Amino acid sequence: MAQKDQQQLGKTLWDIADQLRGAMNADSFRDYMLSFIFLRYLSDNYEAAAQKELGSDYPKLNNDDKRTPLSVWYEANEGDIEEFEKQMRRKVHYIIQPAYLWSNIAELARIQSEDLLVTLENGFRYIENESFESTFQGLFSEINLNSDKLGKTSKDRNKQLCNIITKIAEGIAKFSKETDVLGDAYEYLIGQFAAGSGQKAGEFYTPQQLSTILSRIVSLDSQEPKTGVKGKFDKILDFACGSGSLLLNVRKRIKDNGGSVGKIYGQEKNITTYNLARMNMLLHGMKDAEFDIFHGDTLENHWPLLNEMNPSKKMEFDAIVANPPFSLRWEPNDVLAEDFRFNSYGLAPKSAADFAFLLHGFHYLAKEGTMAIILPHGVLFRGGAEEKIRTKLLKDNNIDTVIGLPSNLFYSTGIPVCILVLKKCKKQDDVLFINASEHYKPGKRQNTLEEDHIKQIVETYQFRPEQVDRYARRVSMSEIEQNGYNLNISRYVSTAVSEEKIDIKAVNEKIIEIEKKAAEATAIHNQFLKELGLPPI
Amino acid sequence: MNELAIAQQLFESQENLILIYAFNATGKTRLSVAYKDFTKSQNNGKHTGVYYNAFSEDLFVWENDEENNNSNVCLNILYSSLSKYHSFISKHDLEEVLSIYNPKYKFRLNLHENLELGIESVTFYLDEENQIPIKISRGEERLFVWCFFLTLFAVDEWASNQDKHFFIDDPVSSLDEHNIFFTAESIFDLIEKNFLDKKIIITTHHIGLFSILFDKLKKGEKSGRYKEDTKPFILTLQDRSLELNSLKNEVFLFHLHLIKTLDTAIRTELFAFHFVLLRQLLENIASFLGVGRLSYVLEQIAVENVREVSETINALSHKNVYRLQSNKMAPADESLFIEIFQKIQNKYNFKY
Repeated sequence: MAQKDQQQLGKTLWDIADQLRGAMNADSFRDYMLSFIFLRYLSDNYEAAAQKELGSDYPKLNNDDKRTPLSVWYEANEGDIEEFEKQMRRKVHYIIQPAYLWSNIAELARIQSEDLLVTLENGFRYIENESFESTFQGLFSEINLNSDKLGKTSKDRNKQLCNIITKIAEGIAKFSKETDVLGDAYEYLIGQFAAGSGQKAGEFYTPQQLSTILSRIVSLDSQEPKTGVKGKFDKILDFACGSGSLLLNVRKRIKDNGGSVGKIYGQEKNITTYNLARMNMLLHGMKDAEFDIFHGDTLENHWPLLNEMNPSKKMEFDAIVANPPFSLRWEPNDVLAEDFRFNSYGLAPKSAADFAFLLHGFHYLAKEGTMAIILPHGVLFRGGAEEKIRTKLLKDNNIDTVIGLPSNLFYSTGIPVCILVLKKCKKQDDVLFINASEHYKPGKRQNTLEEDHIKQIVETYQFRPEQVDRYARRVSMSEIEQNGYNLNISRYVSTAVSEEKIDIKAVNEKIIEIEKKAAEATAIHNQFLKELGLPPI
Repeated sequence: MNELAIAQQLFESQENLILIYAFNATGKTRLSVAYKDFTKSQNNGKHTGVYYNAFSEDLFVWENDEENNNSNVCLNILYSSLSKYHSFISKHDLEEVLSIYNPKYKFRLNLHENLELGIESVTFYLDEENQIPIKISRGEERLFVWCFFLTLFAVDEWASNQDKHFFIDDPVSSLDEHNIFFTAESIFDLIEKNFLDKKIIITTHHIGLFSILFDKLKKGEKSGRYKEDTKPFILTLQDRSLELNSLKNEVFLFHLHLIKTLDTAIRTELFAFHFVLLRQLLENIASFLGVGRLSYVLEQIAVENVREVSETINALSHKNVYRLQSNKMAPADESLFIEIFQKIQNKYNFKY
């Protein structure tokens, strides 16, 4: 599928959003829009599979017949429905009643049917509870079709929904129904909404370029990165997964390079974002058994799956990625101090949960796994509790690579961030520092990393050279110890151009020469003054 | 007494909330230094608390960028032992603290190239798109610095190692009558969050700030939690010797000062918070006359509708939501204010 198409679809959708949102704030509009795209995706996918399944039995309707072919088939073959649905569950892992298919919803919208709102509501409930083997409870919980934002009376709301859905239906009709197109358009929209509403909505959005770097790093073989992408990943975790794009990115990276991925796991605290993530997974053609997204607090470790007390059942992940909220205020307490994730390191300070997130993830990292996490630079050099945690990680030889990135890469903050790569077991006992802070494409509001910049970072990590001038260096543990376990990148890799060497002897000779000339000039000058009868200088 | 003796007295006081009104040029800043030295000497030379004083303000230096025709004006932050806590401060946190003052400008924190050195400077601008640096007024600058410190106070890595006290020496300059309520609000907020764990000492030369805080802590709606834990003092300089007296003993001197402040305000500009001072003055006179209620004084000075007027005074000095209103006194309130003040003077003829 041409990338141009994806971009165009994304843009078409964004234009619709721009036209329609008017009365609504960007956040709520985003949720409606994304849900509809999700429904359209599920429907198209389902209809295509049904057509294949039924073959020549799939009804062919006249152009002016606006019913869905599947509803016609359901009416004519009542006795076969059960068998058909069973078959569909096996093939595409879900079923959708004909009335709830996007094509029917869009048709109701087109004719401004008064039944639209009720049908849509029932459809959402149906998808949450019955479509899939596992339920997706609350998937649309944030979509309030009876919200005042849509209109004062239910009639007004119905009308407004007709309007929105018609626009979306028209806008996306001409685009291909291929999986990735809609999935990517969905992510494009999330990105656009994040950029548009800045700080608040930008929180959960990891810029694509950073997502790419993390994905490429963790997909490489942990022990021998230079051998390339590892073949088999059982479990991958993002413990602050947002809309899930980072997880999808890692999975895609591995699959595109011939590897296999068992299951991906994500945890997200914000309910809306959690639902976005679940939809995002399905939109990218994932079967419901291939992912597990949990809604809950990571620092409090709400996920029962990760709280297994039996060591033999402990969850371990081959790859862990995360872009947790930066320097989040949290509430460390005595109970947390005893928590198995933190007790041998100490608690991160109240003002910044950065290390708490890091330790959470690290606890679940498999011996042969790689973890890459985006954090603010402060974790590299701050004193106090953070210094203790950092020192222990270094002494245990768990910090593999420190990558410094340029500032202004995020929508939500201008601060420069770094990527830490951690491993439970690593071959070398040095730490690789990459100072990529000056390698970027400057933009008016945002800086961006281009393919070359990304490639340079990943390849430096992959091949681990001793030294790259003003860019990277492998630093021995003894040097880090001498620096008091301070990892501030500029202590080890300076980007400053070293000053030209000065040949003092040559300079000296030059000065002597100049002084000689000056003395001669003064003598001549004084000669003139003397002839004029004036005092010399 | 010298500063050291006073510092020791404050250190030993039972109350956790200490409010000191200091007449001008008594040496408040020296007192905060003495307090620092004394507490350090009790703790093997290590800091036990954190401070906001003239030295804090001195860390912020305005840069006019004369060399480049003022194109890069900014507020420089000098490197100090506090710089290592800068990385805990986010722009967002600072914006939230600043929001009580409803600033007209936006700002950007410029980090040192070496990130360990913290924030190098702050650039102010009006328009987000182009971010053209602007100069802000001295008053705005002061408030920004104060908010910067309030944000820093929330950094527990700093305050947890030095967690015995906050010593705040006058966050407002006299230029800043407009924001006096907000500043009191910000201090009150700080007190609310911290008074159970640490001693909070506030010194001010601003009678308005002092009165509002005193009122909130001793008499306001929420004062129940603080009343017993609050100790107000007056700091004076007599024959080169500092005197620290509890407010009760110093009522007379204090209220003459109140009258003087109010008189000046009437001649120049009246702000809403002056009602707090007027009420305090009336209460002081009442207690001098041996009665508890200010309505008695209103009767004495022959104000009509005593009940109505005393309710108005209470309402105007107890308002909590000043944010949405002008800080200037409304014209109708102004005439009532002046009338009462003149009647006090007609009756008692205070010399000040």
